[in-house]
Amino acid sequence: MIIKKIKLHNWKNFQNCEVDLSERCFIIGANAAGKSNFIDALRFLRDISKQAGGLQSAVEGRGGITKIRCLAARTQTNVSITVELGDPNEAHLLWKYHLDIQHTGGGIMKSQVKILKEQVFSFKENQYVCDRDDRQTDEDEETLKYTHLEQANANRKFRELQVFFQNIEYLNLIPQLVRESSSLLQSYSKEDYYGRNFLEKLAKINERTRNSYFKKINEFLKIAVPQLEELRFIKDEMGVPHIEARYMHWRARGSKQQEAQFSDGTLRLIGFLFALIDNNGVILLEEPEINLHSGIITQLPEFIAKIQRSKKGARQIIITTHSYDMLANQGISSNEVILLQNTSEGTTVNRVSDIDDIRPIIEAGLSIADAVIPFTKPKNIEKMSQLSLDF
Amino acid sequence: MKVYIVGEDDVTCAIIKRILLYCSEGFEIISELPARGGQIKSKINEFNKLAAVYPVILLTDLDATSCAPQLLHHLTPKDKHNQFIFNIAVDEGEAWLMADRYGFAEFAGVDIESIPRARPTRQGGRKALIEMCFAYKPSRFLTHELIKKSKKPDIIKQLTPKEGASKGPEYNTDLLPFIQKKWDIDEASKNSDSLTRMVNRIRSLITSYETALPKP
Repeated sequence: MIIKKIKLHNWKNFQNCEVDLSERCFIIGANAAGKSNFIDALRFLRDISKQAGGLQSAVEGRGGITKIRCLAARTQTNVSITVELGDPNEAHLLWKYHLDIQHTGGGIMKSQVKILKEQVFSFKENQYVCDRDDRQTDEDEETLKYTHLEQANANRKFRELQVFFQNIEYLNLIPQLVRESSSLLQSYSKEDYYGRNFLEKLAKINERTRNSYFKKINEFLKIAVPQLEELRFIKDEMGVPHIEARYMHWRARGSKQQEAQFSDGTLRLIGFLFALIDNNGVILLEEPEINLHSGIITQLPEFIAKIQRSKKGARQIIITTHSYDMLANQGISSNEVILLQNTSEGTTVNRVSDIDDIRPIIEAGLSIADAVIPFTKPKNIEKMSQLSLDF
Repeated sequence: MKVYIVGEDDVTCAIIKRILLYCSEGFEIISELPARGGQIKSKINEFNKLAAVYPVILLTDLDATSCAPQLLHHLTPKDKHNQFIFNIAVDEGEAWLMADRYGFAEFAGVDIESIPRARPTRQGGRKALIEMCFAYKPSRFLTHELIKKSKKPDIIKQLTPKEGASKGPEYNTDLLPFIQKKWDIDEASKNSDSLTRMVNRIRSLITSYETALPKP
């Protein structure tokens, strides 16, 4: 199952947007166009659904509803997210989830959010299996603080949906944090491949599975970082997890190195490979090109396609990127690329195949990269180096 | 009028934009293609196809080929669309800039006589054309010879290439504002027929567009 459509209202930069998503999606846009905010809407659903999660903590973790609500929001102050789910190659849908929330409290009351509407439509049963709004008599201020999605008792009929959202993974591996052992305690969210918790996550995987993953990853590393060999997982005497590899040099056996000595690119590549191999749900990849050589980047789109084909069950991979090398791959369809553009009324979101000024460029035979990257470039960027630096 | 522009690098793109503005204020540039310059000659057919949708205005350098008509013949597709406006700068965009001799001499802080004069040259066609004449590539003349004579210390630092580099460390930073604000196209056209031709092509594009519009 994949997310086939997403609709956002007043979510961060997006006042109103609606876009179709495919199994493999590339989200592109200028800096601060809202790429991370766009995928954050999906992380938000994950944060509601995960264990020890829930609506209030998902909102609080983002700094409250005022940090979520779109600055372009005017009279309508509610924030809503709608997603439609289905199988990638089928036209019909399976589920539709809609959540509409609003700020409540303030002053001496605790600032929170309340649900205006929560709906789950099952296309199999052709009916709503959950249909709540704040005017119903069996709802009160307290019940409206919790989604049914987060409550095992209430989501019996759409448990599949909760599990689906729970399995959304976000990968933005920051090498500096992986190395920093104290970040183990500071990681914002244990579910993300973010910093040190990447190693924690490895520690939790069943040993046999982990070994077989490492075997695969070693094969990739052999090509991409040939001087690293025998990558493996270990725990030190304190029980702290590490990854270790042999760095080959003039000595016949090379020398052992741990993650603290790995290069930024190596760490990101390992994290990235792991997320792709391990996860079964939607994967959100934040700018995978960072720290990686352009030669590796050009391979990524096909590598991702291969992984999607080889794993059982569809897995959706949503990637934010600025990379020309990645988008120059000729196997990327204009349906798979989503362009975010800033306007005074918030950011617009469109599939490249739906944009009149870009479609002809692709139809004329130019690559997606050549066609779309000029549209993500700030208009007067060349003026940047003309600025005076006199203080 | 909506157009796509295709330039080899930042300098050629800036030149196209300035010429468009010089000819009319009614141009709206949809996009600068391709995302990375330097490959435009291999994508001519694609640009030609694109021209069926909106005009494509391309500017390339003459480079190694010594003869513009030959390059034109070699590069332009047989079925060239009439909205595909193909231009070759003889020998480079930089020559067009220096063709505004007064303006460029002032900008670079050099004596006007340091910039060569234009003279009639024969490009293989029957008619001799007026072009700027340099002993070697105009951009190389600019960075390796002309700039040494400059009286402006900043310009010297910005435009003189470091060892192993072909252009100065702030080449585009310096040239783009000149193109955008100071470059006198009227003056430069007197010294470059290839520039005059580009201006004429753009003007006739505007005319053909206006005549094609339904009469009010």
